[in-house]
Amino acid sequence: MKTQFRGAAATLGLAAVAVPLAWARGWAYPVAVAGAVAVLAGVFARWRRGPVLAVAAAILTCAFSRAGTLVLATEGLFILAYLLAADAPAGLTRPGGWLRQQAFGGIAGLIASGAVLAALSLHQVSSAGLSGAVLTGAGLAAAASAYLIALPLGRRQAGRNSDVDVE
Amino acid sequence: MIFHRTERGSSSASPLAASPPGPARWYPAARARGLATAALLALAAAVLTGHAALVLLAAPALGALALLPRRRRPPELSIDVARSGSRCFEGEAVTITVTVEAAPPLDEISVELETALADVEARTQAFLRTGRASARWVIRPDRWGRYSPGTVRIAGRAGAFQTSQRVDLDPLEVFPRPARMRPRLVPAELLRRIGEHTGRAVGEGVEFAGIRPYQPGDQLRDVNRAVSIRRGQLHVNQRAAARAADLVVMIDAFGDAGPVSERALDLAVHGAATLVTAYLRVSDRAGLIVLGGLLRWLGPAAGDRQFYRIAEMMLAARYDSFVTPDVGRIPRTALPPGTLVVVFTPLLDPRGFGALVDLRQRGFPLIVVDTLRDEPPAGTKPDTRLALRLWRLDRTANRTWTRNLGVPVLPWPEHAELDSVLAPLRQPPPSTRRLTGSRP
Repeated sequence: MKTQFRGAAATLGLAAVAVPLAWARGWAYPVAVAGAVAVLAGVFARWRRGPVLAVAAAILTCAFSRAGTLVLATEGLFILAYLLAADAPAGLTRPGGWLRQQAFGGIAGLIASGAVLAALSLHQVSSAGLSGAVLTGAGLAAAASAYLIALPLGRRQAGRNSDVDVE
Repeated sequence: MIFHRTERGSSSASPLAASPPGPARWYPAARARGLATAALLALAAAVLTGHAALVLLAAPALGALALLPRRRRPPELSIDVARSGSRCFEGEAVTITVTVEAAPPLDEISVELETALADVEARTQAFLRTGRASARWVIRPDRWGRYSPGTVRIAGRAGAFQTSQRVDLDPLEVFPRPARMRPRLVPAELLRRIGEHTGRAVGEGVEFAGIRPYQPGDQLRDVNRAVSIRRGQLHVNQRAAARAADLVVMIDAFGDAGPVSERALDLAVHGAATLVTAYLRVSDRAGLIVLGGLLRWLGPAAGDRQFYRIAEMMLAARYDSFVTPDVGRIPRTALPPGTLVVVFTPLLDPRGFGALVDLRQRGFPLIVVDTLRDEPPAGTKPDTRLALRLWRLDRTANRTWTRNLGVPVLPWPEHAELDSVLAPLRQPPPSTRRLTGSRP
């Protein structure tokens, strides 16, 4: 990863951890510090679990904060940008090409975020109403679909090994 | 996956560039896993806390995840690892080229060289949206020995899946780089073989050996006009014979494993390489005996090929062995009569002394180069200082004992070339030696 990508990933990760702190409770600060450490370890020590732990810390901080929808939407985009930047390959010879590739992911994230914002503004759902089966089912379905997109096809293909031809 | 390994500029029977990796395994990419985990955590938080707006944390990740292309069939990878050579000298450049071909093209191909060698620029090279990626590194091994220069790690990502392969590069033979020196030390009795050293006998060389009265059959070009006019009788110049010498370098590799032994052995191997190169360059014959573990020897022979045979044998000197060699059974082919023997030894192991005594008793001209530069640490306590003094006394006694055998012992100080280390033993050719105070 080039230096500018490292800097960008660290900045985005620290922003993702720090943004919800303004609306968070006191106990969230140690969580945020742990998240910041995970960000720095992921970026500079190439710790693979760093980004996921940092994102988990950011989500935990948000979950128990009084942040509004706009803040949460911004936070979601920060998380996405951080995850994309943290995945930048090292030794890129053409950073511009890689950035153009990520633009599609960013645009998809923006569209998804806008759609959810629109849905939330249309249906002013109270926190009590969320305990209903609709949101629970939707959340679980979305979570399951997220994992279905990534995992099952890979597992099916894992057993199909390629031939090795040594010359 | 198809794996090729080639050695540039060599036949198919030459050592291979790398060991084959295992079969390629495709699994969910780190990006896909990260996005899915983030989305799952946010949705779980929304469900558990009953806070609908937390879905906003998951939405961008889900959107990006949905955009990642999925392929039903993993791409075929072909990896080609090539190396410019399997042998080199210390500091010499060796080029490693890795070519990865994928059909269909991958979103990202990352090729990384994991090596302990210094001065390797851009260890990782990444390529985007390509079906063929070629990475090239120039490494300069700075330590002699037979070892692998590193591992090549190839990672490829195709949409939501990625694969990773490790290719271990095959060992490289790094020979010690010999310093430049002139082979000026020769045994008193040279071989009856044409070479470049000035012998005691009169012959057809170029060095002046003396003057004698003209005899029928002498060539006219040898007539010394000045002397002939002065004496009123024809005199001719005599020339010393040019003879070849035999040299056998002995490396004392006895000793415990550790940095001190390693440094002494390193010095010995570099000294041996320097001597052997210098003598082989002037058509002398050179051989090698390695003491330590199994007795390894190589009889004197001439030519460049002999240098590589000796260098290969030196590479094996680093490996430990518990075998005690019978130093009294060094065969005659390894040490022909009249061979100059230069022993590189730290003068620590009694078995090394035994070898010296044996060689001296067999009448070989011997030179010992002391390769030990380290001393035990001088502590602050009186006991440690006393121990250090005793150790130094013991070393002095060993050197004196060796000198009493008639063997010169030359210390090799730091930052000194071997040529200057051997300088005290250098003598002018027999014909040019003169007594102090005599007229030229």
